[in-house]
Amino acid sequence: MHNSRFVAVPLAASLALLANCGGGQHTGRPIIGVVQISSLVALDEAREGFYKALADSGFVRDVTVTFLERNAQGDIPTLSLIMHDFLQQGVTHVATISSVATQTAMKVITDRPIIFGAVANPYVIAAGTSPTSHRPNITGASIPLPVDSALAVAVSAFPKAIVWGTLFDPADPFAEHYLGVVKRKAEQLGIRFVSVACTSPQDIATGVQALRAQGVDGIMQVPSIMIGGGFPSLIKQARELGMPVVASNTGYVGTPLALGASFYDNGYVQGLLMIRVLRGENVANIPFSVSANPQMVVDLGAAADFNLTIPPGIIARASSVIPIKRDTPGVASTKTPPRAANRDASPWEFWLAALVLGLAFAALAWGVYIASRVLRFPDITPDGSFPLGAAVAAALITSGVDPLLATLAAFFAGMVAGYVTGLLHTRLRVTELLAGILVMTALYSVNLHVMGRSNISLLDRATLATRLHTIASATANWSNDISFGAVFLVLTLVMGCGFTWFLRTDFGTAMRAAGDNPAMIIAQGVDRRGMVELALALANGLVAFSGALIAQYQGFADVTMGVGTLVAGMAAVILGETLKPKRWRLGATIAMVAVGAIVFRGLIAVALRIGLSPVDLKLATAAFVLATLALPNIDLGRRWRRNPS
Amino acid sequence: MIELSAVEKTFEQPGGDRVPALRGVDLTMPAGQFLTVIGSNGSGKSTILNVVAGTYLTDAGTIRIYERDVTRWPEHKRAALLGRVFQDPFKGTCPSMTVAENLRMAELRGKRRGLRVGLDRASLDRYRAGLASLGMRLESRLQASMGTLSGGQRQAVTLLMATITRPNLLLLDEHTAALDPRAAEQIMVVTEHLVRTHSLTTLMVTHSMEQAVRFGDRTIMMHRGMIVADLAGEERRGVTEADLLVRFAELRYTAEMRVTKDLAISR
Repeated sequence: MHNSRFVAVPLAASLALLANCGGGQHTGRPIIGVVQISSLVALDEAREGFYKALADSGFVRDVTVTFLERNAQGDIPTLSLIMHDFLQQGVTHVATISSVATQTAMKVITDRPIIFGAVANPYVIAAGTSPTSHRPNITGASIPLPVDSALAVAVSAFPKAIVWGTLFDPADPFAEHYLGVVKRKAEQLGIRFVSVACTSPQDIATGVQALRAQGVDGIMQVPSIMIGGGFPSLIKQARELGMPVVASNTGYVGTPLALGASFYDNGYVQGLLMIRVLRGENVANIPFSVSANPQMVVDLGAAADFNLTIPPGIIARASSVIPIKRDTPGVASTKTPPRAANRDASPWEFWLAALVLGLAFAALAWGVYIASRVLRFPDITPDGSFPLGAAVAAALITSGVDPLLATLAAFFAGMVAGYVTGLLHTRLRVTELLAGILVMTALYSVNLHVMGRSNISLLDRATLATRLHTIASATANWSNDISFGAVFLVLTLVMGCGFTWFLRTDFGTAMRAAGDNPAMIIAQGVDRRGMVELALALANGLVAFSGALIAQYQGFADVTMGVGTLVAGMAAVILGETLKPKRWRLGATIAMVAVGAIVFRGLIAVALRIGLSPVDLKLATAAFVLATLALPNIDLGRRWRRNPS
Repeated sequence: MIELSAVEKTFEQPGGDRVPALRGVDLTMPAGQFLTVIGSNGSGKSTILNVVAGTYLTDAGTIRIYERDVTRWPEHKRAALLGRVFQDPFKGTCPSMTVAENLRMAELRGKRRGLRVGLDRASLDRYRAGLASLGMRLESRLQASMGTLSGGQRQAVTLLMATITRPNLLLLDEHTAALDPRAAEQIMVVTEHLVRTHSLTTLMVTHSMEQAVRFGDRTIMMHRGMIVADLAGEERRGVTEADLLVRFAELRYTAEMRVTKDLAISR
């Protein structure tokens, strides 16, 4: 009781000090609170466009204007806190990037101007009822995304493609809207339009395969922030299958034809509106604007990579044409030799893609297996160490490091992350879950630092499979997936054998015992704390290794790619354990955990392939996993009935 | 020689109450002695074993094992000098591993655990012979998973693991208490055999007066964190379970008086 007062006094004092530091020191100069919901490429670009507009008009950062840049990093409740912080810090203007950020701002901030950007439809979020009739303190630039015209252009540019399709993220608030628009247009044009659900960047490659398997000839991708982050993966897979890609946003590297606006341009228009407000115009009198007219961009180099010819009529209509560039010297170019356009869809290619992904996820499953089964430690770090591995590998590969070295570096980076989780638990006595949560959370920032931005494209960069592929594609006409599959298979086998051997050694045996029976292993003279730290390091090293493989296979690393990693890993471990005959020992268990990872990817692929309503993808995946888990038990039930004993 | 001098240990209860578990305990065991410790619940008999093992560090006093001052050594470091069998048959072994793997881990107690697969033919032969010496027909179960063994069989394997390195001191913590009478008897026979064959210095905590007088060379009784009786040699010979009960009832009474008096003075 007495103690608490002694703690409270300095605490209150330091809080007061902090509060004083925050406010009241920027008098005279406008303070603009810039807030975005997450670090997605599109939103980062919009923000840069916004800054550029202000800079172009002579608003110099920290001289004539102060920016308070905030990012909720994907957590919507954080947005409210950011708005309240803005009020505390005395911001004079707020620039919101994305619809959710705008919605939150409108709720909290009513007495100062809000200028929005990267909003698809300001009327849906009730910012106003028409461009001129809107809330008095809000205006902004919405981004035009004419998906219907994009489809029309796509059809006339690539007449050989009869059936068109798109990947569709059911979690995207505007995807449904755009899909409706584009489907109506397709009906009008008398063409079939197919959509395949895709809920994570890892599923993009498989999604493109699924589109192909459903007879789609060309992809007209509707706007989607998540799929936008994984666009290199889409480009890579479509190129491989000879399917033309038309994007309804500009700015995606490697797209032959795009019709839409870039988020950068939208941010620029948002900046221009902000300048009008800064110069004294009343927000209530500024109508909502639509940023720039839709731009049509033709990338001749990208078209050549696709082995496509863009008709001269389309080129003539384009607002900008990117000529064929020579590859920059020194940067390893690994462009896949163009394959015959619109090859016949062969179903096995789809399953091969799922298999390759499964192989890349085997290391993740082993990492989760070590933590959850060997050590019995509920470790959440993988949601951060998986993208860490991807980030490290991608950052090193783009700076010219050999992919194999980059992948190994990713492994060690993951080990460090796991070791820190271990230290927090063993030395600072933080509970297991919290230690993982802390490191996973911190890694989000670390990953952004490692990459220097939210997304790195590895399209046409050297990868682990490059060396094999350049030979194999020329001599044996191997597809990209076969080369990756071969490399991943070898890596997985080598790692699996090494890993099994390690767990059998005297050291590995002690590690297993540290999880199995802590009291016993201490009585046998083993420093259990050190063992926990090392085991977590190994586990997260494997997870990061898996992240590095995935980044190379899908062609990009993205800061958001960690979401759901642990769930996928656990599913693989449990599937592996269920499929494993009871009496099998260590080596077989490890093999079956890898098989579990492949089966899990396979089940997602089945869910994709059977062409359910996209909204039901996750439900179907869950049902398949459940069925696989329940199968052995059903079997057991029958056996019991047959031989009552 | 094992020496405890002026060892103090007090536990703090969740409510904030301080419960003294050892009050200035002095104990010297010459090499090769088989000591049995008895006492009621909360007398400190398990605490004395745990402070020697390093599960708890002492508040005051020193612990020496064969000239080495281990008072501040962490538990896993002390394990190199010790062998331990717990009351709970599940606590001493790893259920998911084979009997052989468990024995291998015990054999490396206090040694470096390297990156090499240690279970070779020679070690398996060694373990088979060790298991055979227990006389419980466990030698055929060398590759069986530890989890498939009964409680008595597990305690027998744990005993073999505890003694496989010929430790400076063997610590037995009521290691038959969780077993049925037949298995308990069998384990005591195995214990006696291993301790005598290897002349191990042994400290056995037991709840059974009968075991306390039947086995070992010396018996101490703990009460309220103090050693209230110490029987050895002539004095101990011929003492029966009934004698002990009477004798310890008296001692307990006088000890109780002493504690009450101490408390009165300290107030």
